[in-house]
Amino acid sequence: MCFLMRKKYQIIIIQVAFWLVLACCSGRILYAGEDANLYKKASQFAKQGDREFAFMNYRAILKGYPKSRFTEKALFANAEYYSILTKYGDAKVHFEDYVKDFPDSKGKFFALVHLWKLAERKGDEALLAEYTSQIASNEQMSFIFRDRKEIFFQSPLACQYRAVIQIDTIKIFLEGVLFAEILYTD
Amino acid sequence: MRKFFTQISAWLLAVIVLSFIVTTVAFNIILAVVKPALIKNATEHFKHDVSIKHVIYLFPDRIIFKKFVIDERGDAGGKTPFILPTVIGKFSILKTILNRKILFSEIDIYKAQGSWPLFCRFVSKNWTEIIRMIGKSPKGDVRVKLSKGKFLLNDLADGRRFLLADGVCSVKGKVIAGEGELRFEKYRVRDERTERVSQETLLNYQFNTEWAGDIIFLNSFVMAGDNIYCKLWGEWQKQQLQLNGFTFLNSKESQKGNQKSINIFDRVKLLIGVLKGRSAAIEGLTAGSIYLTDIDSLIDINLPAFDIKKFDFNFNNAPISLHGKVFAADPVVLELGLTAFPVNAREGKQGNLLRSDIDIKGNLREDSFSGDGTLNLKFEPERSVNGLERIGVLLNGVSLDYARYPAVSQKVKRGSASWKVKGGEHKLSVNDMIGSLDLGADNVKVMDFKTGFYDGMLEGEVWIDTEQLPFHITSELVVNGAEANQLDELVTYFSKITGKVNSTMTFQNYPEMKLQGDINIEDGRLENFKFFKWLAGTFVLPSLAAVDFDETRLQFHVGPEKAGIEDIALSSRDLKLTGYYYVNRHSLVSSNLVLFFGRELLDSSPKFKSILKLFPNDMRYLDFNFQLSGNKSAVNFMWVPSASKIIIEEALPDFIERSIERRIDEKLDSAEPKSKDDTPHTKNFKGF
Repeated sequence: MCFLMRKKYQIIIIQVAFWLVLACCSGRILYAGEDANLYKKASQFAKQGDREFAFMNYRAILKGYPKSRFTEKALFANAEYYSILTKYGDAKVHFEDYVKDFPDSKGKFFALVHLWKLAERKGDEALLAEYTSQIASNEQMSFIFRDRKEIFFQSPLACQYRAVIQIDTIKIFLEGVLFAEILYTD
Repeated sequence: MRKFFTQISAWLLAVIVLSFIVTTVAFNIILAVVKPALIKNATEHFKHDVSIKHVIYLFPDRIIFKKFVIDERGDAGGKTPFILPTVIGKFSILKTILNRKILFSEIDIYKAQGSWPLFCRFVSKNWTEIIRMIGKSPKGDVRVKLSKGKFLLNDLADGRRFLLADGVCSVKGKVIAGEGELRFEKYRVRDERTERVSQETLLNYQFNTEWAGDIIFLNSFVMAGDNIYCKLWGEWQKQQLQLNGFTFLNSKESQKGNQKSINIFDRVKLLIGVLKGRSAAIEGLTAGSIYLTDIDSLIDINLPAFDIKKFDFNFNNAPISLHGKVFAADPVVLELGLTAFPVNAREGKQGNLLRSDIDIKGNLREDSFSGDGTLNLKFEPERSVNGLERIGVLLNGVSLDYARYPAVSQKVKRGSASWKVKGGEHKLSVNDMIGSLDLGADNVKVMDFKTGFYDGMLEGEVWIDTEQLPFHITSELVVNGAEANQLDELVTYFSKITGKVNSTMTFQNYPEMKLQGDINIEDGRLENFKFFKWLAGTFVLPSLAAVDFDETRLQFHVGPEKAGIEDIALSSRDLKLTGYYYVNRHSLVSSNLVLFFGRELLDSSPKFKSILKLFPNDMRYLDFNFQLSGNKSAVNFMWVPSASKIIIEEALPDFIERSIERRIDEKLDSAEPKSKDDTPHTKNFKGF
């Protein structure tokens, strides 16, 4: 009798543990799924050129899922959208967060370019020099037989960036238009 | 009866006259007898010779000292610190009879004259004896008056400057009070006659102290003049002096110029603050003015030892704290520390200096100082050029000899200056330095020195213009035979160079800080230079890892905007190098280097062996021109077109060129940092 009772409790404990694990896993799956959905929608809107809707979904990721794997793209998109809206203060804060939080991302170089541009607009020479130095140290380049190297980048808002890097100059084109020309030599 | 009175009167007159004569003669005989003993006694106690020409008693209650002279002894003999031509002492006959000693009630000193520096030397040498004599002097009310004192301050090119002093000091019961005035006057010598040119400054002083048992209260000491107002108060108790007060030193320039001077409201505000215990910051401080406020000091005095527990004050709103010990014997032993916080020192001129500490330990003699000293300056890096964080100066075995002032000779056994900037720490060391400093010239002080310098010698001449603050410094320096490798604490790149360094350089701190000059290194070797290592690895040229050279010459320039080298001319058997390399204040590199590789060197590389066939045999060197640019932590480099490059490019198919380029890219990419700590320059070529 005692043995049966003990067996019964064991079964109950195992069942409870099973449902708990299942609940946690399903929650996690649901959680991951929502930010992925938001990201999917955001990138679709971005490709269609609906930047406002793309921004809203990216912003929802930032607000609802700050530790999501899509945060990096959401943060860049937010910063870029504020820049497009000429809300330079907000853009600056978001680009600074992006550079700080994602130092190894491909977008870091272009975030720095945005920050450089914001400093140029503000006429802040010291900050401009600081960002010039950071941009120059972003990646080491060699020009043995070629005289330039090009880097392409599509932002989360589907904006096309092209950086033409020469020995002492970087020209950045946004949607085919010259966005910034950074000279880093005396 | 009438005859009787006449006779009595005659007798009385005769007695009086006789008393007068007897007393006068007797006193004068006594004084004449006592005088040598007095002089001997004074001479024994003082470290100076004392002489009195005449001591005359004047009936009924006066003694006149004529020509009281103090002379220096020994080698300095013949110099006279001061002469008191006439000193008249008035005493009370009754008190003298009752006490059987002469108690002067009034002392008048007329036309004292002498040399102020020698007088100061007399006081400093004998002041313990002076204090002892004052302590032993009979107690009683007395008034001392100094009239028309005149002391030579210094000789000028066109005349002489004198200090004229008048004053009176009285002791009445427990109160000692005094007042007087000091004048600084300039005289011109013309046809052996001196005539007054100008009266420069007039200072009035006043003091009042009171004895109350064990405590002496300094109720007030006030000194006021055109450019100075000083007020001190405090107390003396159980060998402890507490002193509080404030001082304004306002230069004439600041008053007459268009600069704002401290006004009456500021003074009132300051005074209220002082009375409350702390003064508010003074607004509108003028350049050249000095305001010492909130003086708060506590000094234990156990003669001749002074233990400065604290001496805090605000120097133009900058808090300064002095502490330490002074043993006022011969020599005066000093152990002082000073801390200053100069931020917010002047309105609108908030500097980046956060804190400065000065420590001095040594012996101060009449004409020399020997000891050690340190200076540490801490800066706010964010507001400093090149992120300057700190400067430290350490001097050991310092010896200053100012016997022939204004010429000061100096020796330093070991000295170093270190500074920390954004790019790292640097240090400059010297040993066995000897030098001289001329403080005589009006504004520009000249210093020359010679010192051991990293197994070589450093000689220099420095001009310091003290008319401006901060001082304008210009200097010329010459280095001979210094060991390059040991200079690595100054510039880290020197750790990769061996050879003897010769250099001439100039330094100035105005209108901007600039250090420039040339360097010549003979019979040396370059080792572990990243650029050469990169070339050695990439093009399989192992001999480039260490390059022996006959001579390397270059010019260097360090300024607030950029620092670097130019006109580089390195010459070795297999390699020649020319070009320039600059890094600006934002760490951006600007460089062009042309390398000339010898055929033998290239022949040793499997990569160049086949290429070498493309070049004519009489071409002894192949030139390779590189441009370097970008942040110094990850410098971009470009092979700039040249005669050699054109020949190589023509020989190489495009796909080989692309392949080479790709491989270099891969190499650079693989060396990219994987984390924040793994900075690019730890793996990649980053210039030198």
